[in-house]
Amino acid sequence: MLFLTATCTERILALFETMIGVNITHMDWPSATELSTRRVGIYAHYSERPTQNMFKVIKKTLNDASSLPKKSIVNSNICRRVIDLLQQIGNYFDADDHLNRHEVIVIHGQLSKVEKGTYTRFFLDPDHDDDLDINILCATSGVENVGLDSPQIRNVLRMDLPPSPLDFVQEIGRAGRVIPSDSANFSYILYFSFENFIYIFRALHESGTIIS
Amino acid sequence: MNPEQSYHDEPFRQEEVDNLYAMASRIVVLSKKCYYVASEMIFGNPYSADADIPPHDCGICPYCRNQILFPSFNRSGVENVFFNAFYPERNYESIAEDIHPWTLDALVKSILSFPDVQRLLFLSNATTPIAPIEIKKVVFTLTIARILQINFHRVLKMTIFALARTSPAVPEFALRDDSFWECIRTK
Repeated sequence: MLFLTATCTERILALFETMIGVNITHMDWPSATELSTRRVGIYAHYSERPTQNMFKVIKKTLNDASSLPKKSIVNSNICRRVIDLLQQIGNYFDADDHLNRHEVIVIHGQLSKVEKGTYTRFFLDPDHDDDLDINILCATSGVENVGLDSPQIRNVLRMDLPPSPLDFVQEIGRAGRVIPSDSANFSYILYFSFENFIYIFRALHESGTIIS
Repeated sequence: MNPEQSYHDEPFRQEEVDNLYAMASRIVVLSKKCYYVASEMIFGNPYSADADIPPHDCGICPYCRNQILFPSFNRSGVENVFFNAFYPERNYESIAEDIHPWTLDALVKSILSFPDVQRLLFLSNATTPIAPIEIKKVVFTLTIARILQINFHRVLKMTIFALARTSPAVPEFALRDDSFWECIRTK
């Protein structure tokens, strides 16, 4: 049995072994030092209303004249929030003559697998349609986390508190997938507040669902 | 976890709550490690050589930049204000006084009305009124340090706060126990 993993712990490995009833003897599991080769700048801000700050980061990235990638992911735990963010960013682009050619796209858990796959391809494939310049992806974090591996993603903007260190690490891993790593130009920006913590705590006790 | 499905598995729920606390601990209370080293030591291969420790001092995370995300507090003032918020001194007996769900808003409002709160919490002589967000940061820090306990009240459908005990079997409050303050920046 060969066990391939990007983000794992001994506990996850043990659970997986129990589930399949096989002891895994060969693993392709990066060491801590190997993981450290892909670091991006981490910025954390306590903010109850981070939208204006997010606009500034997006604008700065899109107006950057360098050849660096321009794409950003905007993450939230809450489906209706990413839909609101889609609308707000769209309105922001429409109101700015320098930004109105840019498009924003959304994926969340209520879309079908086909829709999610299609929108992800739209976001990542620069040649899919010359008329569209899709540089922002708004996504519920769990939906987008796995498998979105592209060197074109410059920033990940987290609009609320990630529910676990695993989500945190996965989200950081979406940005700056370039070799060699470039922590000066690629970043993970986390906006968090106590209300975010209470929202997740409450969701875990009320419905058992973190991501809506 | 399938985000579209509910679960009612208490051990799993507790694990998820612990994960949430672990996440918040990284940024709310005093971090003891570089953010990257903390993650890489958890998610790196545990079977690799013992000497395999990723480079510290990344210079690109809030810990290595010495970024201050939360203000430092005056411990004795915090103890005074929070103990009195939850157990106010009263000159009369009133049953109604005790039936008071300490939601975040109620707690913040109560603390804001405490005399001289700015000086007690932050040793500040500022005359401008303290902003509610500053009180929320104090409550957030105390919650993550497990000095305050957050509970979900299933009847009221609210998250409410209480002073935590050092352990379920003893009557001492964590608020008065040094070990709970080790991860908080104090003045």
